Amino acid sequence: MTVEGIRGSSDRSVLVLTSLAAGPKHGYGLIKDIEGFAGVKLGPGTLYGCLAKLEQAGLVEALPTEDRRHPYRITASGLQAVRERLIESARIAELGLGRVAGAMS
Amino acid sequence: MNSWLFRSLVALYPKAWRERYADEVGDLSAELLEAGETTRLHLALELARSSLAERVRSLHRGRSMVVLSGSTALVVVVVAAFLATNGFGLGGPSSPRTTPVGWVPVAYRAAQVSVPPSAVFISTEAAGIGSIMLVATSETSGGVCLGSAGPGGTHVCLLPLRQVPSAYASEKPAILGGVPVYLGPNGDYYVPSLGVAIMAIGPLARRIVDTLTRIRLPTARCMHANPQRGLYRPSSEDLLITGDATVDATHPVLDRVIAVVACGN
Repeated sequence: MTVEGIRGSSDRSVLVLTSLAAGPKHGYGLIKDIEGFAGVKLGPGTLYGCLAKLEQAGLVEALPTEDRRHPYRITASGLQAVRERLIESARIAELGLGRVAGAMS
Repeated sequence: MNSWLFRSLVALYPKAWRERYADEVGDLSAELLEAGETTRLHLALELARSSLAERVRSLHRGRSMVVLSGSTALVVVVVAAFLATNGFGLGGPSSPRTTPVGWVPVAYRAAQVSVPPSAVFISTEAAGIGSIMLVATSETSGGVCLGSAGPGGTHVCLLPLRQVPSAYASEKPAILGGVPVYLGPNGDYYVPSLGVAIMAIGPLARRIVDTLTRIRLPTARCMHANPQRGLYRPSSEDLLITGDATVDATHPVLDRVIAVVACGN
């Protein structure tokens, strides 16, 4: 997946990037954080599927292992990519809410 | 999670992925289990489902490769030569494949393979069938997988395939059960005429692939939970339990079961 490719990637990749935007996290921390802010509980296979794609795209990078925990952090490219994606999502959400409001009035 | 089960699940992932992430996934899985955040069964299913997703991604990456590396080309040559001398009839006359006694024929798209009665099929959402190893279908690409539990278990997936990968387009296919098959490395078989790619891993993989033929399920001798369905064609939404599988009757997955098959031929 390229940096541009995140535009078409699953929401799970966006969730992972959003979580890492708050600071480096290991797998367990990512799962709990994402569950907390999005209500989505990722399994380890799904999480590492996302991390693998994101790492390959240079959007996240692994940090040194800490007591059998493997933290990751978002890269500058990752921040830019998730920012663009979230702006686009916000624009669509704003547009959609406006249309829904118009239809309900 | 039992180490043998974890090893078995990890073995389903592409080699490069295993080498990079298997330890990390193992550590995270252990942490989730210790924290009571998941169960062994759900963990096994989740890892199996994800392994297929990685395999599919790996397969798609492989399709984009026009030039095979030297080592990969060597593997293809060795596999082809091996199959040619071991009854696959590479380039030779086709021979009809039959379902071994006690095995169960299963169809996906226009392909049919036969599997041991302990094999289990499951959808992306399913979980919780006795002690049988379950392998999930792909979330993104459809398909059906089957497998059995235990050390050295066998796992076979039939996935949608719309055209033979370009890397193999100029090759002469092998003939399995009268069907042209392009042989890829790492247990991949491309069968464009039947619309499937087959990924097979484990000791029974080759025996299962060797039963490949065009659909000819003996429907008259199959018992289906829902007779309205007629010929059984697994989809990504279906769950099939074959033969003597042990079923946890309390699990909600049972409402997804569409057929308990006892076929013979």
